[in-house]
Amino acid sequence: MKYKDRKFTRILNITNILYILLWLVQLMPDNTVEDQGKFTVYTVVFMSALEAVFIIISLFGYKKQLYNTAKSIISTVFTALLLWILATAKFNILNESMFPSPELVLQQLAEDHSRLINDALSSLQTLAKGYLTAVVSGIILGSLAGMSKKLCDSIAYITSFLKLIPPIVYIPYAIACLPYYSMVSTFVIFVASFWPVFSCTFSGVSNVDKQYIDSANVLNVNVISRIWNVILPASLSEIFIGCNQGLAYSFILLTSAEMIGGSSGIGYYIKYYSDFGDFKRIIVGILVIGVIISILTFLINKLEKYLLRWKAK
Amino acid sequence: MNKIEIKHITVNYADKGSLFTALEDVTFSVGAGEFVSIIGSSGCGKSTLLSILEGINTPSKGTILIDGKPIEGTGTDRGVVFQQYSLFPWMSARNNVAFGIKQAKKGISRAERMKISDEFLDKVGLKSFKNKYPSQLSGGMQQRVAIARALAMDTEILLMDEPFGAIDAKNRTVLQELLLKLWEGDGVQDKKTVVFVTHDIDEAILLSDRIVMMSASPGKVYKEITVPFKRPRNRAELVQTREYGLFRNELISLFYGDIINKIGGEEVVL
Repeated sequence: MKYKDRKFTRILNITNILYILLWLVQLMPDNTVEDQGKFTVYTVVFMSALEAVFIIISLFGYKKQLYNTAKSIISTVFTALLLWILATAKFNILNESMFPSPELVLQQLAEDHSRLINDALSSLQTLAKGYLTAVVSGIILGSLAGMSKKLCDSIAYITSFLKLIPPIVYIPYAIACLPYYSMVSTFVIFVASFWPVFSCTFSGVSNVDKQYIDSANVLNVNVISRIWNVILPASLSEIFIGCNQGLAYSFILLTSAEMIGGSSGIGYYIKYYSDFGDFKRIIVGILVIGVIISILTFLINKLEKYLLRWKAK
Repeated sequence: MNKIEIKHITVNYADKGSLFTALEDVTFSVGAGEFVSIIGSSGCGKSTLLSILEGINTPSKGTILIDGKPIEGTGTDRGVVFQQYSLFPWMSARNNVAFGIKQAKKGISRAERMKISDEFLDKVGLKSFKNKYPSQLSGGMQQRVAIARALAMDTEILLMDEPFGAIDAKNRTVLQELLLKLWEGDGVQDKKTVVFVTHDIDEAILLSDRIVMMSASPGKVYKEITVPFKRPRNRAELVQTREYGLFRNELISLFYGDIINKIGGEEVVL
């Protein structure tokens, strides 16, 4: 009986219902100039691809968790898509030129894909340079500062002052000092993500439980091994808080910097087309940024889960 | 020759301007291969004394000699088991033990470390738990791993600071018997020298050759008592003997006698 129930919900569930609804909506007449008389190829391909992924997971995914995650993500995307189609192409509630239908946006995405890939790679490259430098130097300097007792107090004050300054204010300074604009973006990302990583590492390291230090001491652990095997693992969860915060800041700064004066990257893409009022491309840019951020956040969370697998659940 | 000689150890703390004496002129010695328990009520400085032996604390006055040489800081000649948190939570049971071995025996290969680690985890009955992290083990199992690590490091001296203090009564008995078995071992020749801090009288009698009783504020050696029971000991048999009962009563009256003296020797409501 139970098994049957499960089989039943594997077919009749919210995601599949939404998929059918999406098809039915396609049959409704279009109400906007650009959408009229057009077969919605891109929308259909997109939603069917998602549905295919969902079906594959529900048939072959043995982990309940994976199935549930897929179900909730895909059904959310379907709901958003459904509302978007209804509000634009079908009922034309919103301003047609500012809010294009998903079909037009997806078509644009397909047309611009090679350019978008280049822009995304350029953004990621800038991000990687600035963010990784900040993470490495933040962890090293933060640990050193956290371990030296004399420096502790003064560093805590200086850090709490400096990390409150929005890094975007350094842009004019960086433009004046650095030879290439790409270096400006990298520098600003570095500053933005350095402080959270540094201050979290610093507080994590200076607050390592004395018991672990004693344990390491009675085992006669040398300095390098003590840092690598005891202090860093003990403050790892705080370091990750800093890294996550830093990543969030660095995205804000990356796109801002690209929009202010860059000549490549997703932020530049959005900025460039907003000058022409090309809202299809603006939405494409926003969606691409959203997807990239989600993927990176997902990856960093996976890494965190793996490295902190020893923690009690 | 005595393995450990504790000479005139005094520890003073400055506490809000006033001087607080935690230990005053503590002197006693531990023979090679001897199992000595330090017993006393909480606050008598027994753990402070052990932390000086471990090398993580320094006395205000006095010295501790090991094999005739004064100790300077921590050393891999002493294996330590704390009451809690001896293990690193980010290392599996096996890696915790292997890490200790690596520290004690420089230059030992990884494969060799793992082999010794497995062997000692097997001795404490945790063979099938070797890949678990401390958070996945019960308190008793964590102490078993800590004991396995201390033993696997193969140090001549073992310092244990209330290792079973945070374990429930049933598991504590099991662990005491395990420690007794591992320490008495087969080869009686090169037994480890153990200094064991506890507040449990039965534990002290069962395990030790000699008991050093301490009194509080300031912490001093109150009495040294030799435990007269033959080894190997068996708890079930031992506790039924008349001698055990008498000896235990004697210790208890000494222990509480000390408290009564401190309070004033008149009315004590227990």
